[in-house]
Amino acid sequence: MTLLLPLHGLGSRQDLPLPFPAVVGGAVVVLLVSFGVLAFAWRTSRWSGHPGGRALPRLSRFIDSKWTRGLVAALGLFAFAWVGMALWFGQDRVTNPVFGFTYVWVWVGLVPLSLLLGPVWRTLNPLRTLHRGMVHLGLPADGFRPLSASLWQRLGQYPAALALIGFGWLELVQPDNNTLAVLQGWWLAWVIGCLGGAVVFGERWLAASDPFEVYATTVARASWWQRPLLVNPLRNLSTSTAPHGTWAVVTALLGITAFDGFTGTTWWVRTTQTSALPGTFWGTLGLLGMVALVGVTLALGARGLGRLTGRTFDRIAASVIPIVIGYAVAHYLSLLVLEGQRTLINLSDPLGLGWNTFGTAELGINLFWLETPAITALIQLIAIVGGHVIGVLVAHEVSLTLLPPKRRTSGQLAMLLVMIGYTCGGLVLLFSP
Amino acid sequence: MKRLLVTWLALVLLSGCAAGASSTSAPPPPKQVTITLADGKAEPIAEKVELVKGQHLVLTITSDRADAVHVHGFDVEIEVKAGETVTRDLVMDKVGRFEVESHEPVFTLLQLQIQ
Repeated sequence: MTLLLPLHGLGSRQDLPLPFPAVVGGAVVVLLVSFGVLAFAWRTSRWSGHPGGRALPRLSRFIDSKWTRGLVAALGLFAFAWVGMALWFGQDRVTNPVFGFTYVWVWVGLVPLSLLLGPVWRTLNPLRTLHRGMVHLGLPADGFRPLSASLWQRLGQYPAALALIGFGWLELVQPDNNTLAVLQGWWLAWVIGCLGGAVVFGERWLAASDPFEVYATTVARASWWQRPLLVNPLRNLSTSTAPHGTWAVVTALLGITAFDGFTGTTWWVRTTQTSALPGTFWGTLGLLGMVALVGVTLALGARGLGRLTGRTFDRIAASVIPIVIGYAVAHYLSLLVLEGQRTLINLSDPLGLGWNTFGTAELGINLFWLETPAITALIQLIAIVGGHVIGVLVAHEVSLTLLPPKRRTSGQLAMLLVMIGYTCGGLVLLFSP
Repeated sequence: MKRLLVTWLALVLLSGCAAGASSTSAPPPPKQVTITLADGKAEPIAEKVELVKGQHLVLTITSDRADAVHVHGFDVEIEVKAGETVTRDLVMDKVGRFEVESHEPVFTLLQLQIQ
């Protein structure tokens, strides 16, 4: 009998726990910076709601040109079509590139991509390209049943927040998430739910519901590049318009990543595996519980800024975006480096027939710094603490625009404590008790 | 046999040099870990095993059912038959955190932490 070997190789290596002194050191820096900002940072709103930025007309013209956009869109469509072929006709083994493509290239890769290149996912998104193609062929751009402006407003990004939790469940709870049958089901749900919805309700449905696009555009708000402007990410985060439902998206993302770290703790593994109830039950409960915990604490923090309206909540939630990015980098950068390369190798042979289409099949895997735990630990620390520092500064600026002068310090305190909680919680999860 | 020994020593020295000054000393003696799968349960569950790169891990697995123990990241699958004991010697030549799992049912037995 042949061995069942590479059945679940994806994500088979995790980073070593963050050393305890690094956890303590990180926490000390976090506390000092947080209260330092509260005590010594600027006292009146610095940017009073204006994103600012420097125009780069020539670069913008190049990026906005039909050719560039067409090329990026074609690239996205081709990548998804290629991997779709592996999904429907490839082998049900971990060497099938669809697994690495979905869980690593897309889910993890969109974070650095959006951080470096801004809202590029909207152009890359194959569903958008397909929809545009259908409109070109005569489909009404606003769909067959256009929604009213007020309904769009109320929908906001809530459908995408739910879809993100769904993807988090697939990635972290679904026991057979490394089999083709399960992934086929989820891909179908994604295409029908998002593209089908766009056909019925119009293109705007994609911005409301597509989990990958919404994740990408959320991260892109922290980018230097906001076409056609080169901006200060800090300023952009605290002033750019927060889409309705940002708080739910941020909550889902932070909850999913935190739950991923949580499932690695000895306590979680022992408790769930010695329980009489199935692991899927505990996983579902844990994931929803973690998302709920983030949502409730975020609301409590935002409550300090005054009456909790949707608009306030969405604006202040933008300050958690850098923390979300920090968590993602700290948890998944090693995975991206390792499994990202493995996926590149596997992409040359989507059907397991021995092809070498892109000439990558024979490549080796470069481990870069992964055999040096100190460098990994340093990157994790910089990501978590750096995300926190930027987040706290954004929260400070947003608070100043919301709070009356006499409450400008006390009103920020709750949100500050919540953010310290997220960051120190993140450090403890990396320590993996 | 002698030739094998010399080759092995040379390899150890080479890998020691390649790993840099901090690990010129030979890795610590092999780590012995016993795993018992009985009555639909497993022992241990999620035990942390700290190792140094290059160290040997010797797994002794006893099971009352046919099962397979999977060492993640090393692509090693150890099959055990009902009522038998299997011993496997593995070289821990990677850095990171890796799980050792049983399959029927799934238990996370060990968490290897290799420095």
